[in-house]
Amino acid sequence: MFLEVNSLVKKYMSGETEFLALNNLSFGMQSGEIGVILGPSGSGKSTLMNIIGGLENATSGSVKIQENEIVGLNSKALGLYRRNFVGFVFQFYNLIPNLTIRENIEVCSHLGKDPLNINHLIEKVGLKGHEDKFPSQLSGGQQQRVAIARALIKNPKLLLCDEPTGALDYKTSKEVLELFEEINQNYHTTIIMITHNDAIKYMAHRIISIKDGQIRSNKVNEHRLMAHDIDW
Amino acid sequence: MNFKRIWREFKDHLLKNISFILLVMISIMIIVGFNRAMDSYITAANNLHKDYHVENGQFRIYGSLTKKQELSMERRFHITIEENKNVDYELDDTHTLRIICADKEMNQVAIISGAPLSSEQEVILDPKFAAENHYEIGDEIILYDNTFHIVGYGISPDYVNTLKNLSDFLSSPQTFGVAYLTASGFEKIDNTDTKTTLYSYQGDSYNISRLRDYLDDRTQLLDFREKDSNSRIQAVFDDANGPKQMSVIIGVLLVIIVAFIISISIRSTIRAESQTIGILYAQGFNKNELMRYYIMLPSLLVLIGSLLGYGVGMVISRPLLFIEEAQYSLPYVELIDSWYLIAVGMVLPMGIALLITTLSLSQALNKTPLSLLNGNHSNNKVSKIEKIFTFKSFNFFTKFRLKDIVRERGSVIALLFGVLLSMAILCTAAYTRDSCYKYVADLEKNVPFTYVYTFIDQKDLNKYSKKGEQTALRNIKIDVKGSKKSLMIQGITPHSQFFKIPGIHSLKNNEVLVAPCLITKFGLRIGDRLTLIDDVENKTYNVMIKGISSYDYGQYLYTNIKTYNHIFNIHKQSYNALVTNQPIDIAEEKVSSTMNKSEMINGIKNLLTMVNIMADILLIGAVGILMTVVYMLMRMIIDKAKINISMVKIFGFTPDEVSKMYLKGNFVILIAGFIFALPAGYMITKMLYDSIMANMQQYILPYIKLSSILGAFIIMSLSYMGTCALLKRNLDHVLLTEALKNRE
Repeated sequence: MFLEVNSLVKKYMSGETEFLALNNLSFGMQSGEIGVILGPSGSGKSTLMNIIGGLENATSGSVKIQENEIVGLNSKALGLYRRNFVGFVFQFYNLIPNLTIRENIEVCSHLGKDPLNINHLIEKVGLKGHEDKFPSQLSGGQQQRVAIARALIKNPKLLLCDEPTGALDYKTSKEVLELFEEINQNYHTTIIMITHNDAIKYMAHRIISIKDGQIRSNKVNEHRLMAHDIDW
Repeated sequence: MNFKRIWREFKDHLLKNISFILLVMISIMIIVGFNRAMDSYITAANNLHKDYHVENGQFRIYGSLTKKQELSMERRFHITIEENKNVDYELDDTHTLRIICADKEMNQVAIISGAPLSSEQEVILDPKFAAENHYEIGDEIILYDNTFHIVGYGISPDYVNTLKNLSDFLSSPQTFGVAYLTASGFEKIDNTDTKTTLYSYQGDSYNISRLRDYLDDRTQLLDFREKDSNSRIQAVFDDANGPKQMSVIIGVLLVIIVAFIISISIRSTIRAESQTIGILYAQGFNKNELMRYYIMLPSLLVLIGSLLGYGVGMVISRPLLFIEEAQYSLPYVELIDSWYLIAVGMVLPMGIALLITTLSLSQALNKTPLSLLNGNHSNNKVSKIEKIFTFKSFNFFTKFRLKDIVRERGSVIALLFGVLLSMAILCTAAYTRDSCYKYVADLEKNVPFTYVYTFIDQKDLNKYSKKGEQTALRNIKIDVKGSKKSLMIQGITPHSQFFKIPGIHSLKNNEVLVAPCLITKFGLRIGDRLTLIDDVENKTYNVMIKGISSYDYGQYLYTNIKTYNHIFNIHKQSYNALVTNQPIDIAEEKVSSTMNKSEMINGIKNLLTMVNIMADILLIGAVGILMTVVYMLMRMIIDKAKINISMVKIFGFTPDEVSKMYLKGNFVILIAGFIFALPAGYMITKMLYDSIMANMQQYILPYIKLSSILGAFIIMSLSYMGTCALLKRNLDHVLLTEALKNRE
């Protein structure tokens, strides 16, 4: 098992009130899978992604990546984990505006031990010819491609995507989803996407649905569609 | 929209806001503190002049005027003439007291403490000489075998700067002072056969040149000096104006930096809060209401800073008087409050803050609610200049830092400005300290004589000529940008045992060598032709600067005696002074001036204590300004880049790598600031010296040691590193969630 989440609990204190964001949550994923986590706002999916991504710690439970426990690690060790294992893609691309496309991608190439070839990657994500442009000169879809390339350049084992198509139109969203599919096939990267968009689940190997911090369903998708074929 | 939110915002950025208040406070404190002190000192000096009837000028003649001559001159030139009776008394080999008859209409004695003179057995001493030589009120002092009781300390306006000779650089209260006696007391001791008489005059300046011509024709005029060129009277004004000008320049530059910071800070606040503003706009708040709210915090900070600065400035103005009190004697200086300081100290910063805030806000709030809500205002655009500077040949991290500098150029310019200013202050401290120490060292090493006596009577010189080497000295003036400046010209005898100046004996016609200080002070150059003005003879002479002399202990032109005679068209014996290694036993009244190497050195050594204190104040100020400006501006840069910092942390960059990306690049600004600060420090020091020594016959060349340059750089680097350590904490406190705030 590539990822094992067991009895994960996350509590927040809001003033004197305790809020249970994740309540004894467990699931697992194989290496090279695309997993889609669905759920309404406030269901705990972002908290789950934060913990798997090493952005915050759980209150209790266990998260193992390739059998390495990350719950309970200090911030330095979590930083190292993010550096070596994880790539992030966000809904709002968060590109550095005064760096060119190439430079935005290059930021993360210094992190991985075995980074991908930047020119090759730029070509792969369809940004050839745009390398010297600045983010403000690109469309939303192109900017998201830059963000994906930035996450991939260090060749992470796990790619975490937080509403990656949330800010994009239908056509661009599909192009981005096709890109994720390609990456998954070409680099064998395990991808976890959290989304509101129910249709995206059809391209996933595993569909996890959560509500009120608990798993409602965890299914293997036996009738996967290609990203190109999904519709909403 | 209430004070609670402003208070919360203040607490949220406590250190930044305190730094801002501190910066405003320092700016206003410098302006108010120095100006109040110096203005008060100048006013006190002016009051002394007015209340104790300072002379308009003085002249010394061989012999004396008859009463009839005095009256005739007073009627003819609409002036009042009064004999200025004084005699120098040597208490011992090293201490001289100039005893002055205090019963007169001009240059009356102002009592600083104790009682005025009421009998012929009483004496008033100048306070500095008394303090240095431990004379107290109630003590007795013996002058010419007569015992006098010290009843008080006091000073007359013509001895505020208690110089022994008018050409002296600084007073030396350890060895020279003045004492005042009643007329009958003075009669008791004045048994000397005075050959020359000093007169003071007051009256219409229109007639002064006619008066001088008249005296020149009818008497043997030895010296004629208007008040403005008498450094005993005038130096205090030049001296007080130096720190005043410097404080205004530093204060105004700091206020400009504050204005910059306000502008940058407001823009980034608006950017950060654009969505909140958009919501408020959408809900019906209008621009004026929002403006009122956002104007509140910076205005309050400026107000608090100004009030504190004004208050601290008022408090430090009394101790700052030491800058003048170390050198001059005045009765109690009452501190005065000027309206202009309230305007500059409180109204101006508030005015600037309101103007800058309004302009910055107005521009930001002109956007539509929708564009604010959408974040379209956000600073994602790339300017032309950023497109030009691609830094392609640099490695990634250097490129990242350089690009950040270009992007944050507004803050970086303010930072550079602040760094430059603080370093210029530090360099000024180093320049003043080093140049004064060098001047003393050079005097000890380079003054080629121990004594120079200028004789009144040629016969006396001939009598003593075997005791030393004869030389020719004349006090002349040159015109520098419309103002007459005093200097000495010296004619040196062939084969001089004292003055070894390369090239001096090959000078011909009207050629002279010039002391290096004149090059710097008056901007003279080799090849310049000068017109020498002799005020006593009312004649002019022409000379040409052939080169620079190897001596630099005063404002001198040097030439050989043959050329000297040629310049002044003298066909007879022109020597009037004697250079010696040992003191000669001669009555004071037979010499018009005596230069004593050890007194010259002692005078300047007094200055060193004051210079050291001033340099320490400047050093503390410079470090304070540097740390505050660097902290504030870099904190703003960090606040602005919070999302990006959070992002790179999410990616897994270590804290050290993050600080390398966002902090270390600015060290280049420190170096750039330092490179500019050296010439700026030189210029400030020169300006200060030009002002202080405008009417002195001395000049100190601004000089800095290599070790001081290194020391200054190390101090600045350490201050910068200290600030960076504080800023690193801010970087560490940027949360990972900062970049995630805009999701969902």
